[in-house]
Amino acid sequence: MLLIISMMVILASLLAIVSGVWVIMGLMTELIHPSESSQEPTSAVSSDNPHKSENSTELL
Amino acid sequence: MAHTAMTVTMIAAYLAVLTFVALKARAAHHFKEFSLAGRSLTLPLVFGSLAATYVGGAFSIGFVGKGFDKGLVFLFIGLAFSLQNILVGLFVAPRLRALTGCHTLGDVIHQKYNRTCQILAGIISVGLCAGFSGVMIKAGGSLLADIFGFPLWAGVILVCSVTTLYTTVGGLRASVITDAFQFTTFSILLPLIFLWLLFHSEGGLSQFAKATIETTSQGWASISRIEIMGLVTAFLLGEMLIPPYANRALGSKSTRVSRNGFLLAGLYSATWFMVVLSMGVLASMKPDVVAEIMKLPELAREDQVLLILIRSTLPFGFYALLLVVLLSIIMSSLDSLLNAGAVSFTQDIYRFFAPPASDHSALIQGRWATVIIAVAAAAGALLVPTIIKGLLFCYSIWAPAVLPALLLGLWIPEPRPLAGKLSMLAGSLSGIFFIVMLEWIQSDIPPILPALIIALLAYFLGHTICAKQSATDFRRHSCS
Repeated sequence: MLLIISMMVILASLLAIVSGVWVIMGLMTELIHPSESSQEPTSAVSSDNPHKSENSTELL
Repeated sequence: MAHTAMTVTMIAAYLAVLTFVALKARAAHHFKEFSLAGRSLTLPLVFGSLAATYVGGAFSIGFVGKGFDKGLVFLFIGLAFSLQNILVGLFVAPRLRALTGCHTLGDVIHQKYNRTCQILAGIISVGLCAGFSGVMIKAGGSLLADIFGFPLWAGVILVCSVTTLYTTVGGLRASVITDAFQFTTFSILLPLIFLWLLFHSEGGLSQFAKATIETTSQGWASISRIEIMGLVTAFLLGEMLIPPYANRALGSKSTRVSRNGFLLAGLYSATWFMVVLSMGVLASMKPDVVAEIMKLPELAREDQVLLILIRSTLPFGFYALLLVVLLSIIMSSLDSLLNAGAVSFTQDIYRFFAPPASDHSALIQGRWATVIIAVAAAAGALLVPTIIKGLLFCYSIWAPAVLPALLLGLWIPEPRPLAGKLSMLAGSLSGIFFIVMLEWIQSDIPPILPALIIALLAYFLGHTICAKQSATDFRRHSCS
């Protein structure tokens, strides 16, 4: 039990550090080569709802 | 004097790097960039930003205090939050991302119900974001006021103005990119500080494991079943799909990124809880730290454990580093909330009363909304009694007010506008009512539970009324 707790704590800390490193690498990539905006229509000025609820999850 | 100079230098350097990162994120030139970052967010950014947003004062300072007091009990309760993120990732986030033409949750509700429901969702979203922002500004302002010794209002203005500046100019993209930077800061530094403390503590790992078992057993004995049930419900539903999370789901590059971002954020939360709670256990092993904490008034103890642990066991440089970590934790949550509130105000409320003539005018409105919400939240921050009370108030309203209408709307084939309207109205009003009433009678029952039941009943009442009207040949839109 003592060994399991010790291992879990160390593993959790290492995982958190690795996550931080992975995100900073993704961030650097994004700042050097920004990803392009999606070309989907997303109008802020249209006030009418152009989609029917039945069709709105078709992409899944 | 030398210590203050070191702290000021480190915090100034950190803010300078943060500003550089925010400038690299570029200003938003279209409302779509401001609200959804052009729907181009990659997996590391979505994951880092989600984690940076939910790790606020409560999941850092608050959880170290819980670990000190109750061992790993809150790891098991916190797993409800991890589960929530995983469920949202599996079943809701990809469904949200697949909707086209949506900037906000209000837009989703508009597609499923009608315009009135969108305005209601917008009012609730803006109110919630302003409320949460007020709590974060209070936490950040208090921290800076403690460090520099100036009054709370000055700390509030400093935190608020730096965050508002880059959020107003860069929108969601700047918010997400600075979040990712801030996530990296705390996700690397805090576990490193913890490991250093762990390997330099008396008795080492085996003593730590024994202390963990002991404090956790005492923790379970000190908490009632109804309290556990209330906490699990609040962790499971309280923050589910609040506007900043929904914006990240909508702004992801694809449905896969949206799903995986939430899944990873859910898994990360479990590891994060383990680290911060263990820091609390470590504090409980040090007699001088315990003695200093016990001198404080009972209500103030939990929030001071982390600061006292670092200040009394490590060289001053670590303490200054910790202050940078805490500032990044608070600002990363604040920028997300300000942006989400501003987008919701522009898209769900303002445009129905004064439709913007162009995309550019929508962008300008969004920027003004960011500033107005920040000013309102800063004013409110001075009135927030305690950080935890402020957060629980927001949780207890959000879940009953929006979740039944949103989730049922996504799954039911023909959602009825009356059901959505009744559920949102009944959920928000009953949330406020139960917060006040249950505190007044000093009950352990969490307000979120009865308020959710009322919201669900109101939804099914509205649905049944409309279904009956449809059966008697009424047209569906007559029931709105």
